[in-house]
Amino acid sequence: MKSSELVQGTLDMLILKTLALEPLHGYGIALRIEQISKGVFRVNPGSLFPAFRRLERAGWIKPEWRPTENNRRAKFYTLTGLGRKQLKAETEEWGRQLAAITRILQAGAGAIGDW
Amino acid sequence: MFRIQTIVAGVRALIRKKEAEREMDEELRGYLDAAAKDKLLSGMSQEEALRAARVEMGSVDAVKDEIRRAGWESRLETLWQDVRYGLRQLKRNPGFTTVVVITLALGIGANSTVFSVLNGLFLRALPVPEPQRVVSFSDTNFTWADYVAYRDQAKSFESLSTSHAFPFTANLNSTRPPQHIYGGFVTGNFLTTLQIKPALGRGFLPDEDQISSPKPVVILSYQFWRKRFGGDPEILGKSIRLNNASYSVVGVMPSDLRTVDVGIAPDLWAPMATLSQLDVTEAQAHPFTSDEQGFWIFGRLKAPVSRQKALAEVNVIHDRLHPVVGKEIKRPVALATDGVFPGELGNMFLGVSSVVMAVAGLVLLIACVNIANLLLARGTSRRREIAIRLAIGAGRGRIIRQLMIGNLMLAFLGAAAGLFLAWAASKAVAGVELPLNWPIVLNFAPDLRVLWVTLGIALLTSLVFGLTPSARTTRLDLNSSLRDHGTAATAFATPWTRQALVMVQVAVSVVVLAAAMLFLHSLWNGFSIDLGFRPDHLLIATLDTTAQGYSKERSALFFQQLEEQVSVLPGVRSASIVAPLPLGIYSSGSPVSIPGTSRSVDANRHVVGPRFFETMGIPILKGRSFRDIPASSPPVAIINRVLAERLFPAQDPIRQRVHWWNKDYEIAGVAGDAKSKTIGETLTPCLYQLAAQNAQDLADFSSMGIYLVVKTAGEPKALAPVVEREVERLDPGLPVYGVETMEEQVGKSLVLARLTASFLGVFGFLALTLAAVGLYGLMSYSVAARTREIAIRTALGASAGKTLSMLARQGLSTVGVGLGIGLAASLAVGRLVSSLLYGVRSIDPVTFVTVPLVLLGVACLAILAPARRAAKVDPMVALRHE
Repeated sequence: MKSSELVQGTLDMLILKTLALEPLHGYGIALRIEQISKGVFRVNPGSLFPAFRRLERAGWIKPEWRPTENNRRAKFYTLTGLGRKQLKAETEEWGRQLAAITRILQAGAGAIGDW
Repeated sequence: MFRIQTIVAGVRALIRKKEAEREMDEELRGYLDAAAKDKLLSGMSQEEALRAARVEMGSVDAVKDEIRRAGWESRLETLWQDVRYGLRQLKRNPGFTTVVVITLALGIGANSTVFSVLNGLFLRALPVPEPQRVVSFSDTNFTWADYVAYRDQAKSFESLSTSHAFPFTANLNSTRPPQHIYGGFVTGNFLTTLQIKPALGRGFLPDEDQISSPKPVVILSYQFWRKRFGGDPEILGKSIRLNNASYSVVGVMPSDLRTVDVGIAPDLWAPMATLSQLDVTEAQAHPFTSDEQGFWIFGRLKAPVSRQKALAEVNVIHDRLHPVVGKEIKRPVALATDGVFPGELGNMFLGVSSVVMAVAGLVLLIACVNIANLLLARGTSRRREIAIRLAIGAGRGRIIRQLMIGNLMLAFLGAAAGLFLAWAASKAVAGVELPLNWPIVLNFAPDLRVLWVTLGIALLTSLVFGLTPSARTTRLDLNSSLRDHGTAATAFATPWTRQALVMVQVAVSVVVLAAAMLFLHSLWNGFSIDLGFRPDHLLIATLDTTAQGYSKERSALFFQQLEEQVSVLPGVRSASIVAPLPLGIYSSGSPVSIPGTSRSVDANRHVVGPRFFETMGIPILKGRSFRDIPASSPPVAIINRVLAERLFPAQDPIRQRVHWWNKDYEIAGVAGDAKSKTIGETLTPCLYQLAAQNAQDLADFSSMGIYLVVKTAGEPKALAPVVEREVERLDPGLPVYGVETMEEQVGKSLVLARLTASFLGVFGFLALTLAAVGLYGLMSYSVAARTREIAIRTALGASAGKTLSMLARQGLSTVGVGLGIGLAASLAVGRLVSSLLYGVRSIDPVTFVTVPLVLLGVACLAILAPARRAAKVDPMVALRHE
């Protein structure tokens, strides 16, 4: 299975989205992103954990130590109200950009044909 | 996005750092465990799963570093780490640190010193509120009428003041002994314009400066009050006598305000309108009606008015006041920040100090090159350490940053020591006596500006000496660096850089040495120059009789008496008055013509006593001297040889008639040529008048000083009290000032040359030493790196002599290239500074022979010591060492 680099700046959004469903710990988040994207995106810990720190500082996610199923404790992250708002804003922005890029790519083919 | 929350979180992370670290460890371990468990489920063995999870994560430390870097506080923290690391490195190599810090202290100290002097002369503002708004009109001269016009018409200024461009001299008769003082005569708004708050008492009041009814009041300078009046707290309201007129003290200036013009520090200030009470010469007493251009105008800009706008307005008024006549070229008025060094002397200083500053920069460059070389050598020995750190995941950027922080710390240590040197040196420079006869106060002590500039220099220095070595040290092939032990092969990886650095160093030190030699040679010429008179065994004392209220006739008589009485004192050979003093502060000149012809020659003149020529040791070449010529006989003059040749190329000048100013004179004799105005002048035509016949001319010079010169049999200074007592016998109220020997006076006129030469001499020595150290370092290093090669050569039969000559040849070829470049550059520099040199051609043979010889000599020493050591190497020992 071939995995791709994440589009620059989307990791934060994906983490927020993942946490919108339920609180998860680090590995859980990585796994979830990989699963949902059907293995297209694979996030390595070197970018994942700094992103947690960043989002935590911004007040969008909140860490909490909880026991795991095998009786150890793990740091779970929960989406905050602020984070939910941010996710909404980023999703909308992403939608707009995606639509615009798609339009440009499609129009491009036609425009070249007209010349 | 830097919100309070982020700051709080950062600070909290800093405070509970240990806990945060533990949590981070736990979180990452949890991640690894979870990942491994997943892989276990997919069928891997326990060991394989753990390994795969680790590989996926990469270096745990690198991840942790990434996480830490997500918060701002980590930057602070790593900075602190790097600083601590740097400190440890400095402590671990005390020898290295000491050498570098001393080198930098000398290099940076040289620059800070020169800058302190420039700062004191040209940059330091007045100690008044908002000094940048206080400007003075410059580049042209002003009359009282000009001032009044500007004061009434210019709208850009809150207030405009004026003072005489030169301080007034007066005799303070109310103290014992009487004293010659320098007064600033200023308009009544002087203190309000500058917004000076007196330390004691008050400023002038508007009605004290009324031309019609002036009030005789003075404000004392703080220093004068302390020195002359013992800091008397009851001084206010007391009266002092100036030129026998009574003035009452109304205030004392603050201690830091010694002068409003750089340097000239009056003892007291008085309203200009009170000048008429001082019974000085006509033009000085009534400046308001004369068209004398001796006024210096300064004012405070209104807050919103820009300097350009004010300048435009001032020049509009200037053009209205002085319309251009015909093809006359008129200089526009300029505005300068008040407090900077004025006029021609300032420009001269600027020229010379630019040269000195440039040379100081070169010295620092040499120092930098030395340190760069040391760092390169050290980098080589630290290769392994750095390679290991790179291998375990340290970023190259981080390591470079660490090295640079270490360098910066070295630079700052050097700067701190350099500032101390600058402080001491600038104090010494400020103590040098200038060729001026008014009290001058120069403050070259380093201030905040000097501090900032020094820090800037340090920063720049650390970049110059540190960037290349840091970049090189971290650009490694990890495999080879780790594999072998970093001796022979890798150590020689950058021979070319180091060789080039030494070439630069040699070249630059040649330039510095050449500059130093040129100025030293120039100074030597200045000292050994034929003055045309004999400066030895001459004592000078200065008097101002007009200030004492003497009429011109009484002055002339007084000086005749004084000359006669002093001449018969034991230990005195002869005595005479002279004004202006040859090589003194002021001079006087005008055309001398032959009546009835169009022939005229510009000449300097001196009013002298009858025994002037024998006192000064100027020979009378033809005719007679002034001795035994009665005051009542028709006026006679003595001219010097140049003037005689120019006026009367084909005739005998004796008994010829010449016209000077407003009188005809018969030539009584021709004197030898002597220096009149400056020591650097070429032969200057000169005319001497007899004081007894020209009482008015003598009186005109009185306020500038009439000089009594005394030829003594022994040490001239020893006679000073005797001469002073003779003056006191004639007039106990008349102050004697400026008592010094002619040799001191001549020495002062060489002050600029002496200062320049001593600065450059010190710099030249520094440059040579640093270059020699650099060369020695390079040689020892390259010899050490080639021990093995040399050992093999020896083993194969090369003799010690042959090895030695090979090494010496290689070292000297590096020096030779640098020397060539340096000499070429020196020629250009010589041409650039030729106008500042006295009697030295830009291609000065002395300089261009001495400098290469000295440099080669020093270079040979620096090369031979390590080369000899290498040639004596025992091949068995050297090869086994590998």
